[in-house]
Amino acid sequence: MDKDWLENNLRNRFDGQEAPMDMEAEWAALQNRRQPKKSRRFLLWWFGGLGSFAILSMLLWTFNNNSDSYALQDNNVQYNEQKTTHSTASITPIEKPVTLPTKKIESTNATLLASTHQDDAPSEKEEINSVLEKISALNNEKIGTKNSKINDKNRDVENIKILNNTTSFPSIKEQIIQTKTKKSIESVGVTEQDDSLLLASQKLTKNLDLPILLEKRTVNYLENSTITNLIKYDFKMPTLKPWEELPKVDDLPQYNTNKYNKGLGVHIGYGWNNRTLEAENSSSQDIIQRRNDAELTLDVIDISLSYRQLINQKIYVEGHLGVQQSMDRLDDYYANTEPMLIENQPIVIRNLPDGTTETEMGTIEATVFNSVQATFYQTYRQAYGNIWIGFYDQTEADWIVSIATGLDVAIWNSANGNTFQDAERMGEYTRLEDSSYKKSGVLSALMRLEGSRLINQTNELGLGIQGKINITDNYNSINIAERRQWITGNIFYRKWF
Amino acid sequence: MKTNYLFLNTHELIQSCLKGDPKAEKQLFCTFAGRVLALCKRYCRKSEDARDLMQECFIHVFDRLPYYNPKKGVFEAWLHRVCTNLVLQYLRKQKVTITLTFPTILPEFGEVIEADEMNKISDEAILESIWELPNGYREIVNLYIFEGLKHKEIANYLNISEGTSRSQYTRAKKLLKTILQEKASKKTPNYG
Repeated sequence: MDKDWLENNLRNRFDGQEAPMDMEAEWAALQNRRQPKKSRRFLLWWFGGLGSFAILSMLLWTFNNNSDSYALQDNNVQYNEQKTTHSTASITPIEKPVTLPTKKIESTNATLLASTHQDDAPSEKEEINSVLEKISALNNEKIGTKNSKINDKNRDVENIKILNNTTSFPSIKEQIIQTKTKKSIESVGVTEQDDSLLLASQKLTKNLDLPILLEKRTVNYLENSTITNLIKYDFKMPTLKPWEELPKVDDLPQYNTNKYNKGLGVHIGYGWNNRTLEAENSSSQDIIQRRNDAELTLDVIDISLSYRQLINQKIYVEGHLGVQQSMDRLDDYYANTEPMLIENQPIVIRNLPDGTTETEMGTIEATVFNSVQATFYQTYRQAYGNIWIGFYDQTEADWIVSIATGLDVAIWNSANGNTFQDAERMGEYTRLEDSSYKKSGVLSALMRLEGSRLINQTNELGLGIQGKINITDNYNSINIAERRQWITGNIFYRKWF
Repeated sequence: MKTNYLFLNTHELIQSCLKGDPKAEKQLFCTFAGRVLALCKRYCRKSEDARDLMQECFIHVFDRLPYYNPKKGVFEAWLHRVCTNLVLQYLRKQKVTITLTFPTILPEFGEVIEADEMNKISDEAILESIWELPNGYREIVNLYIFEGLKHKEIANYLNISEGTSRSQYTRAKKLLKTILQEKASKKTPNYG
């Protein structure tokens, strides 16, 4: 008889064996179990879609807001025909000079300015007349003398010099500030982009009757300045050398969040993370398995594009679209205490006194201690979208620090992995299984801390540190670790517009 | 034209399943559910647990269907392998087989069954006999005989040495023969 007859008999007998069941009921039960997964997937897609919609809405809102403000400005612009006569043909055409709107000024501010004007009227008038004479002489020289060495640029510079030496220019502003400081800015209802400043500039330029180019610049300077910044920089008109042009407000070393509040960025990150998993014991009647040590190591590379929208001087929202690759390795060290039975070594008890009875009790059983190492490798790739809300602060030296938190949704991800096992006594690794899966909609929580420096008004370079932790599990199919968390450091560049 | 799913071969059924056709999925389920349930019943004594595991297997199979490569083997073999892996994973989660339990009190081996007596025993009685094997023995018998794994593979799956797998199997087989003999003669084995 064949030695393995039992195996062959059982295999033949049970090969292709089917267990009876109610197919319809089982299929219905299976469908019910599959349904929640679909709905959860739908829910996560919905969240992803909602995030995208929020970003898109914010972009649209921002652009609409800007076009509204432009429209408002255009409605209030009036061409000042008289002033254009002061310009010369050789001056490069510049933006339209404006007569600034007066109808928007609230009565409180108008009263404020009126009182300012009345108090300083005599001395200011004298000074203005003096300035006008100087400027007029300068302009006449240009117009009247063909071979004049004073070109348009120099004339402007001279004008600026005169303006800077004029006391009325700072005095008007000073009075505005002083008055407002006394009454407190909030109590008189002025905002940082206050119309009274515009009116002040209008008054100043009108009285001085400056050439159009300089007027525009002065208006521009005041128009784009905020009270906070004016106080901070103490109304300093930059000290100019004769060949230098009056800087635009954009070039001032201040972070004008009213003008530049949208940023597009690119981020490159890398993280190496290692953490020890908790020890775990399991045992049964005569075998004990103890997880001595387990280490999870991740190598993460991350690249993303971002859009940041400043909400106000402290808060921003930001959206990212990125790709990420992670090389995971889990080293699991087990210590197994297991019995090893050795064949063909029976324990025989003989009844020695009469030598006639023999009883076979079993085979020799020895307890063997061995350690087993299982190593799981996995390459994990993901495309993701996330949305952040953050708080930022800027120092005078243009350093920006921010802290932010957000939610991340994996738009697409996949993983491929192998499992290897090694036992000391085997002396070599054995490949156990290959695995792969694809799954979308994994939700993660985010936290970031970053510091950056404005290279100039519109360019920013910085470093950040970012943590990510999966909220929903994504390792149902791969026996590696149900929860993943990692930290990456990143460098980023952002362009403001 | 209406498709009669009963006449589709496995390959065509799989192609339809991959396109998300629910009728094809149902037909595929009906074709193989009995076999998968039989596999699950070898590892889960409770009928409810076995059905639960079978459903889990099919959820897994439908999820992983895109990865099935017909060039590497027939669908039945792939299905069997996938389900066996899942069953073992399930058992590991249940902490049933990850730490094998071998009997410390060994049964006395009585008379063993002979090959020609096997036809006296029903299939149910054989499965019942396998269930009467102690934990550890049962898993090895199932994996070796029914799933067709080699001792090296079993050792890897169960985290034991190849030698242990061999020796345990030899003893399990001997014990099974004893139990089957008891069944054949309507007696119960005597565990010391």
